[in-house]
Amino acid sequence: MKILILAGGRSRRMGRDKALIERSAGLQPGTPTRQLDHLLALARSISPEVIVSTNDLDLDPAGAPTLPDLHPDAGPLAALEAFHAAQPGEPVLLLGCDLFLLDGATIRHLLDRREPGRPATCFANRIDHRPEPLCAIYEPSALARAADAIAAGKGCARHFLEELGPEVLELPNPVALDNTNTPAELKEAFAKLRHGVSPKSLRVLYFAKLREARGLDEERVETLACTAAGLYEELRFRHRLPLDTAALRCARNGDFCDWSTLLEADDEIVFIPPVAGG
Amino acid sequence: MSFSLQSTPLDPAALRESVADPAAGGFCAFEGWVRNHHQGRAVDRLEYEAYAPLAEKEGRRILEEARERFDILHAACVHRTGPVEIGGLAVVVCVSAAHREAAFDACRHIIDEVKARVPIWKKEYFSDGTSGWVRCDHCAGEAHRH
Repeated sequence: MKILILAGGRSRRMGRDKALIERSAGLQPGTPTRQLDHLLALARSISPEVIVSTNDLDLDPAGAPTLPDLHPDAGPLAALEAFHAAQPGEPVLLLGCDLFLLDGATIRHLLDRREPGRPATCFANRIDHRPEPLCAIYEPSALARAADAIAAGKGCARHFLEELGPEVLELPNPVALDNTNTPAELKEAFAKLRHGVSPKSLRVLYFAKLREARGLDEERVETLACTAAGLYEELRFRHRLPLDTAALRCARNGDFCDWSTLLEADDEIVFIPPVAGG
Repeated sequence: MSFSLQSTPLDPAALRESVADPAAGGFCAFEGWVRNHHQGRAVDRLEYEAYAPLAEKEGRRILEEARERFDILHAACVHRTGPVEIGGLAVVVCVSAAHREAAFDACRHIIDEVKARVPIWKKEYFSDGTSGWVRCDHCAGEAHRH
């Protein structure tokens, strides 16, 4: 199975190219490496044919063949379209480059349980259980539809995947597909890598706009997050909360804290909407 | 230095009394009143909500910082929670100092900081039946240390 790594994203909310972010190399502990190199090594441990989807002529793909989009700026579907044009009749395993917690076991699980009779095989998001498009196998029948979706302006990879009617698997490692769109989420990913992942039970208090959106003054939450930012991301995603970390402050056990503050069991956490006293 | 929240109508005279000092030559107070309009829309009433433990803690910190930064004797602030009618008092700040310059400056600084940092929110109820949570106008678009 050929593996296609998406390195062409704009990384707008991160402010810098996610593929180039330095991180510890899981396969060579202690050696900092680019996220792209880490994923390349991971992918190459599973398949000899790994391709990097990119439109950046200056990107060093570490020896991997590159594949530019036919329609740049059309998102992940453009990579699928380009792959299908280059290799019609071939399925592909697509990997987003911002999966900092992805492990080899998860990829092997996907391959082992591939359902070639379905247009795609994928995992369910651990929070909202909807299909995750950026660690998934797309069969040629699915890839053939990417061009039409782009032409119709339906460039959302998640909707594309859902409409395919994919085989959806449960994640054996629940945090393997936690993504990193913002600096706060990146710190959360690094915290998970450094401190490990374990469920914590704690209390969250809601006020003002968040209280109304959540419909609760407070709740007890079980989370896999390490940091306040990670916890908020889980809650924001699960409950479609209307504010994001850029607009909020956070507090832990009665005082302001950083988004990177580590959580402990039985903490009292508050996410503070823009204040308006006086 | 006292910062407190209360759900009953504020008493400016009592707060003034709390900063009285025979060494003070200048006294300055700010009162935040609930007005009947916001950005051109008619407002019927406001409702204030607070994360009380942190509001009190941060409010006290603001007053302590003011005492260090300005040459004042005493500062106090009380903020209302719950519904407040038009014309009602939402917040009172009182400062006393030996000289008036520090009293003026500290008073202004304190209300600015309270509005920027203290976890209190207000919901506006407009005359047209709609309502919404207010973002502090002072902070919006302005760089402000947190």
